[in-house]
Amino acid sequence: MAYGHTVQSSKHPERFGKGEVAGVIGAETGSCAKEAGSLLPTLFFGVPGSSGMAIMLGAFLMLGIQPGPTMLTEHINIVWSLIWALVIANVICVFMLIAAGPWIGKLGTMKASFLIPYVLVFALLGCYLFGGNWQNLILVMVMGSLGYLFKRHDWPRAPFIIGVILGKIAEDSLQKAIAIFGAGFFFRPISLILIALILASIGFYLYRSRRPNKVSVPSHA
Amino acid sequence: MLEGRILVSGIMLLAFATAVGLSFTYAPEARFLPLVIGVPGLLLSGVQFIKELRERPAEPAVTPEEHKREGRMFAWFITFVVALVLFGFLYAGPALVAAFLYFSGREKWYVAVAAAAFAWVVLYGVFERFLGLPLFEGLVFQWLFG
Repeated sequence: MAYGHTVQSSKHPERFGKGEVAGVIGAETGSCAKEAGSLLPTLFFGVPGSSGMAIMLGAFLMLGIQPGPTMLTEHINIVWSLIWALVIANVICVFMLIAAGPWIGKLGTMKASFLIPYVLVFALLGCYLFGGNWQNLILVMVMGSLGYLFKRHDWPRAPFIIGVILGKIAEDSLQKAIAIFGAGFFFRPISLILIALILASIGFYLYRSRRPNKVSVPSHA
Repeated sequence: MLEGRILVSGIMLLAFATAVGLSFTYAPEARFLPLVIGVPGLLLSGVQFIKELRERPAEPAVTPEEHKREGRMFAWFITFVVALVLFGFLYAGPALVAAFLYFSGREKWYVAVAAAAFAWVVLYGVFERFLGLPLFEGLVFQWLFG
């Protein structure tokens, strides 16, 4: 959308697709702007709105902060800090990148073989430092391999992250709901609507998989 | 050869079956949520597994050359993890950087050594000395020196 709008509002739309830098700036500005929107579901529902937010959720877990509606009551200072951090970081980044852009651009020409060993060592170091257990490295190997298999075969990976983040909230809430309403909780209007939506999404998937040529939607997480 | 998509479905089926099986060892209240998620998950992954088995083998998504490169990268990944677990970050980290650059990146030996030295400086200087984070010394060194 941002790219389309940039093309429409440009004085030289014929230059787009031929190296016009405004095409990159427009699309990337839209990409940065959506981060603020991604913050809402991340903070208040524990559902990451983007891959960057998924990493932030992981940081929340490390710090013992539980995302959810309580963020508005118990951790409102964190919410405001994050909002202002996003605003200030974006403003600072503009000046920093204008100054350092030519040098940062050279990173793109760097050979991947130089980056791979450093990224691997420091990523594994980060996993070790979380808890200080060497077993974390084995866990990374297993989960990393599984994640790669998932990516290769079009299985979504986001539900795993959502499960890790929302698992505790879901369990607490389910136990409370059962304690208050008993088994009738599953037959309340909101529960029935949600169950119907889940069944409809499963039904749609089965319908789509039986008629792959008529409706085809890529299934990337 | 076992197709990847069947393998992934099988892993998910096994994971849900294990979760459901394990949940029966919990107290009745504690097993409720694992069953609410596990039973539908088991059914759906079962359906997916059967669907994958019945479908015709998919066209290979990657070329044999890409497949080889993928295998090499997996081998390196596992080497990194195993070496770090055995010999720790301070010794295995720089050695792995040098080995990767020399054997996989086809860099000159002095470039690989310089990159390894840089890795050691960052690991020791920044993490151990400056940040004061004790790095894992490796199972072999733990065993040798207690």
